[in-house]
Amino acid sequence: MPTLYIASTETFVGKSAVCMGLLHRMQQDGHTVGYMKPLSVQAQAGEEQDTALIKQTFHLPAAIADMAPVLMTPSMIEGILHGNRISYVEQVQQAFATVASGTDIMIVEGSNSWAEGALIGLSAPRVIEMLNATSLLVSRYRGLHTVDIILSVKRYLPDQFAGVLLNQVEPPHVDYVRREIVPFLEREGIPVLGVLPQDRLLSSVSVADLAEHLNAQFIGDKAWYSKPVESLMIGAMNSEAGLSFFRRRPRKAVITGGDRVDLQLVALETDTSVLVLSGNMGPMIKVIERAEDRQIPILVVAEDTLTTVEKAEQLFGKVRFHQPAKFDRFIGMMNAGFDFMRLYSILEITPHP
Amino acid sequence: MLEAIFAPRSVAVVGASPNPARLGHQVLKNVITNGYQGAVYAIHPTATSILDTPTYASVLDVPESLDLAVLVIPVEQVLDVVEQCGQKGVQGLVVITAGFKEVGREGKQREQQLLARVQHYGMRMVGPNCLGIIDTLSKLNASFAGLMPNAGEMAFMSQSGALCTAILDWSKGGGLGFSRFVSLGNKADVDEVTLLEAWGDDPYSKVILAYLEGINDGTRFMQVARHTTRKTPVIAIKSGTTSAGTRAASSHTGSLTGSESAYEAAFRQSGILRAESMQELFDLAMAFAYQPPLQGNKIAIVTNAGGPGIIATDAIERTGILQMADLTQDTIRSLQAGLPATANCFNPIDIIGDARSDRYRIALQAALADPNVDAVLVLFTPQAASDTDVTAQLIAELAEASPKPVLTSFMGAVSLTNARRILNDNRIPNYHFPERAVQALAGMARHTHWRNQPEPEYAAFAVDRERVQQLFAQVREAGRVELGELEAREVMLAYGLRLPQSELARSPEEAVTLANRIGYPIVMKISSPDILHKSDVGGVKVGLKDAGEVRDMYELIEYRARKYSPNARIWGVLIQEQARKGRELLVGVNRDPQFGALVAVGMGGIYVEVLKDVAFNLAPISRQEAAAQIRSIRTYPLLRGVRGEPPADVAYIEEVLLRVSQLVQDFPEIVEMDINPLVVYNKGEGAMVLDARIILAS
Repeated sequence: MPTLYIASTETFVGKSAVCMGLLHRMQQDGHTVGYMKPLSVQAQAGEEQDTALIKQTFHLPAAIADMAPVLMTPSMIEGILHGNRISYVEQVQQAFATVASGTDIMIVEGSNSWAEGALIGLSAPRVIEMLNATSLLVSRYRGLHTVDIILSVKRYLPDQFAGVLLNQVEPPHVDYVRREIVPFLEREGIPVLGVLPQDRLLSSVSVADLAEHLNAQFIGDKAWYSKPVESLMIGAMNSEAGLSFFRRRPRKAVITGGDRVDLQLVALETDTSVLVLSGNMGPMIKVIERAEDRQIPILVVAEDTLTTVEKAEQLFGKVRFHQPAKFDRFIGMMNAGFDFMRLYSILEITPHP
Repeated sequence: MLEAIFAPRSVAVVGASPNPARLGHQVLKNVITNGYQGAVYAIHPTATSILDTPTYASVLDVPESLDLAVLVIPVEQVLDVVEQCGQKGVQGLVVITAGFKEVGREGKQREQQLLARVQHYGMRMVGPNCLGIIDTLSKLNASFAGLMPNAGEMAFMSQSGALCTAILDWSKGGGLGFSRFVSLGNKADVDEVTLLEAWGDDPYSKVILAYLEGINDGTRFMQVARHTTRKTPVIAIKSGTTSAGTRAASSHTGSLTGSESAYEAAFRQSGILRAESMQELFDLAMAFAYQPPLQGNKIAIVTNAGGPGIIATDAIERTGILQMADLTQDTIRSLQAGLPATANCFNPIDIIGDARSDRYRIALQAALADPNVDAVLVLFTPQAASDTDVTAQLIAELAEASPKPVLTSFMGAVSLTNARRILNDNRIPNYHFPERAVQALAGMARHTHWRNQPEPEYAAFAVDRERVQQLFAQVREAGRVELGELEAREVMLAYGLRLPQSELARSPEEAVTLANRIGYPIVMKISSPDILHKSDVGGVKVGLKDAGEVRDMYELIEYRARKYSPNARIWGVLIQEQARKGRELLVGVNRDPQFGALVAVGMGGIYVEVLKDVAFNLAPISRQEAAAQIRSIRTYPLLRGVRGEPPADVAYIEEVLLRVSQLVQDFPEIVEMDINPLVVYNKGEGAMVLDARIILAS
């Protein structure tokens, strides 16, 4: 039974998304696919969120505790420092056997970096070897240096290297990557299975994410919770300059003082996904009504504008992949830009009718 | 067209009350006690007679026909009463009742229902939420204002009801009179545009005054105002234009106000005179109402004191539009013959402190007769020898006999009470200080200049509109609002503007290939949608001479961009033909929510933020407006050429403005655009767009 290990060299390259894309297509092609995430790094013990979402989305029968058997928490590391020796390797092997039984392909989501998990014997090369897996590297294209990283990863890997998926390529680079980078990597013996462009929706956060993260009071229709927020803008200028400023970006969150009625109104005239009012000052009724007309939710937060911006910025670029709209979008992109047939032939499997 | 409101044959006050403390009582009292000659009815559910006026339970019960209904009733009853008015055949409504748009959503819906009913019956309505209207010709005071103004020739509209009562009170003291006086309220039906249209043809209104907080339809406002101001001067004061004022206005009205620059351009391009203060509004209005039109801009001063004469001369020079008249030889000789030897017989004509009315007669007569003089400003300071009242009377007589405007500044207070009354009774605009009189003359001159302008001409260039349509569709498709540099270039080319060759390189080798093709020297610029100020991050380099330099610079530029903006999306580096040096201008567009595309032109370069030397016009821009626009920047002399420099191609700058105007008219989705720099070459050599940004509405 083929096992595909999804590897990456850094966080937030879209690993979970790629796993979901693979699961979706492989199920469609008639396979019984299993999913496992051997190592999860978490702040505290508790159910692994991505795994729970994947289990639910793809109706997988295995227990979450088996699909995500090892949670590396600070207290677990502390235990090891104090001499606590448990064989996590064995734990993973047992869990894998349970999850894999009855499947004809296993998708294994790797750790966040090459070395993560080394402390407990679960670094990427060790797990690949242990599960006798074929690896697929998901790499975020960040310019020409990316080529170097991909080559170095290949050197560390045993022979079973399926290839690379270049993700989040800036649209103006796509044709250059296809013309120059892809042929080079192929010549170096690295199959390039896909080139997927950067997508604003996929890197956005939802209004709900933002509201939760900012611990904000929500004003508006709950249906607007799912609006995507692609960027942040701060409103602190005069309103005339504000209009020009806010027009520059679509689908943004505008953070401004609760007393800046002029800027609030200006922001509502432009493509704004959510208005965030700082200083614990709620909006005046006419702002609320205008926001309702424009179907824009308002968040009221207690902190001042700068603190709010700092908090909100933490959220961007680190967003988990758990909105239906994003899922559909990414599935579409995978189908268009990823060569499943080539992957199948590398894994020596054929689609079931 | 608003006869039913301003000169109705009959009026019903709905909500008239027997209780003197109620607003409805006050309104009825105003209607019947100020000389209105038509039939008046009170509408009250139970009373049989209020203030001796025939009283009915409903407008439907009034036996005669009704032209106007004034509504002072609880807001819940308004819709039903308006329905009855429609059935009754009432043509005009003044709705004083509040509780509509100004109170939020529910009120807004109510106002829409109200308007729908008014329109269904073809009625016209002032209000709701207003003070009412006053017409001194039909002597109708359908308001709750405490006073009836004097009759006069100023028509006044105001968006603030409270300001109306203050002005009425003040005008009574100053002896000013109005023809019509309207509190616009929420402007659901009759708004500033309706009144500008109606009053432009009103023989009883020599000048139109407006206090505005916002404008319903900016484009229509300008169309109508352009037409009206050719016939009747319009003076407006617009509040909420400073940054703090805008904030105050937003908090007050809960609505977005247009930008100061847009209002300035809208007023200027439609011939509306802008008053900066209430005082200036009435100073100017008085001159138009009392005096004949000014035919030119040459002013003569007659004074009995040297100091004020010099102050007035300075003020005239400072206006930028008025000039001191050069008196003819004949005038000077006749002044020399009639005045004492110590008098100054040149302009300003100083008839010396001991002057009595006879010297004023000689000087004023001579000045008015001089063909080089278009208006005379008479200054008076009370002196021991002065025969103040006689002088005032004399000035009034001479002014009456002349087709030229005469304005006065009788400076002082206690000894001038009587003289001021004489001047005002004789329709001589008098001001406490000469500068205010000069301001008023300048306003008159601006109006004359406007009226004498030829009809505007608009250009229409052959352009590739479809190409721009395609590009914009492509940008929208990608979920973007900002055009990439290459897309913006294509838009410029499609509208006939010239640009240097430019292509995007995504690697050092590609940069060299492109540079070889374009030819050296080369300009390189970082291409990133997230880096706005490219030179600040070291992302721009000019004058690269060969392939080696281009290759190294590619790496350096990309490295700097990644270092200074780690999160920016980097698309590559633009390889551009290096344009010849010239004078750098900027052309910008900012779409104002009320008035549409505002096109700016000014000196460009790195000092632009500091100098703020920019002139605005709203699109569509006529040929005359484009010519005036570029000439109105402070640094225009630099374009004409200094110290032997050849002049720049100003005609081509005008063409760029007209092409940009056409572009933003063709594509209302363009909300922001910046051409910076536009490098302008010498006369006959055109100009080149080096960088352009375009943002679309999403």
